[in-house]
Amino acid sequence: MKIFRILLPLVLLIPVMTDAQCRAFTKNQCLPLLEGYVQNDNYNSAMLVPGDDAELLMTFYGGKEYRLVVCAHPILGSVDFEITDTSGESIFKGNTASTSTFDFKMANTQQLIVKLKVPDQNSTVSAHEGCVSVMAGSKELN
Amino acid sequence: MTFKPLIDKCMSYTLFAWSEINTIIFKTISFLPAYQPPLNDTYKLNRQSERMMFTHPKIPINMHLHKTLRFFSIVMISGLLFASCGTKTENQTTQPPVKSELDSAEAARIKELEKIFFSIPSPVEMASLIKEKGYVFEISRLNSPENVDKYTGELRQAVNLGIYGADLSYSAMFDQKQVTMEYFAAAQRLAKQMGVDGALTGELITRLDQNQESRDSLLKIVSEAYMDLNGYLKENQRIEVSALIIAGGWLEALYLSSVYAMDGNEDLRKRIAEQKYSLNDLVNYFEKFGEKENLKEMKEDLLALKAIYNNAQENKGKTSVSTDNAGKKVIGTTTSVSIDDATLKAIATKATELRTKYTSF
Repeated sequence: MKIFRILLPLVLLIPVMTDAQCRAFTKNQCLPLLEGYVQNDNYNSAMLVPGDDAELLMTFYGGKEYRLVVCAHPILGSVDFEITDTSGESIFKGNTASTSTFDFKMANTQQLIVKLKVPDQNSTVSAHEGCVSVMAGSKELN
Repeated sequence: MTFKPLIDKCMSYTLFAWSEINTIIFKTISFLPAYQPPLNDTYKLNRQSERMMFTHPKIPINMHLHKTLRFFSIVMISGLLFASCGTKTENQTTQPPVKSELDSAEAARIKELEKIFFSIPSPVEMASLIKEKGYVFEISRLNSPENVDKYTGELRQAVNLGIYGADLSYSAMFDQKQVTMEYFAAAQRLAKQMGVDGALTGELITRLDQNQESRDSLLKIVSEAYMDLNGYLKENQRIEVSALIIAGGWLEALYLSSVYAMDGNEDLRKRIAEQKYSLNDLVNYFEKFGEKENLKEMKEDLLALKAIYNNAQENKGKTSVSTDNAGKKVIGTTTSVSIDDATLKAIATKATELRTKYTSF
């Protein structure tokens, strides 16, 4: 009975993530994916809901190697992301279920756009918000 | 910006979630064994429990569970209200939100998301180029950590917290471990004065101390610390402070690189020209905050720099994507931006002037 008293409220509160948990999620789940790279000190994490779109314009310097990480809480399902140049030409497409990282080299300095799409959920299911994080790390080109 | 639509949405989510949980409770207790209450005080207590739980009065509650159900109902209500309502409260309404209010709340939420999703290159990347080009570390070019207590007011404290962050990246890049520790202590002290030391913790100083032999580890700890600081500020509705810190770090990186670039290094000149992109992004970012008084001065300074950068020549080209021998994507472009000697000198002068303004007291 004591275990029931302790566990049940916790179980019921798990779907309700706060911004504080988003920061913890970013540090614990997403940051390790940048192993081997020095992460950018920008914080690009937010609580998103099914159906949300988000865009992030980023500058990448020529002569460097980068890793881009798109990380999402499993409660949102597989979040799609696409990297395009500023004219909209697609460079890479991925999703957090299979390819949440993208490694690339920059021959020249350029601005790229990271576009996120959180999948819509069945309208009969309660909508849950979840943390989505975009991180970038760099290292020198060998 | 009004918080009323957000609060209305907040409350509607809370009530909706609570109704879902109540349904789960209702279905759970309907499977419990029947309880025949005696006609005494215990029965009255159980009836009170039933009212609290909003259960159907004809469904008996197991005597052993009423306290447990009361306990977790209080926990859930508190947790739901705390978790789903993270903004300031103004007026609350018990009316279901109309469509226009929901649209307004959604628009406000999207606007807030645009302030969170913002990125410019870290000062570490500029410091990396300075080191790569063979320059030596010059501590005299940094903002002394002894100045930390002389900065008052949110603007100067936030901008200098960003400046110290750039100085940290610079000193770490040049393997100046002791200097890095001193600058981190200064940054931590300033953050504490600003009431934002929840991110720059003592644990990070311990990690810095333990990783003094590894430059990459130092850089990762410094970058992680500032990323966490920005996250902490955004999480605690102090996004404007985060914007000032980012601007301060960018300004210091521009100042340091422009000082070195005056000796004619072409790669540094090119990198300074490319700061046109980050500067445009910063100005656009500050525009999203409207006419916030605490951002006004920095915004005007960025616009003054932007006026100089308007003299940069930008050639729009095309993007190319290829694959190297190791199978890694290589992204290239024929788009370029360049600056002449006069523009470089003007940028260096203005960057120095602004940096001096913010680091003075």
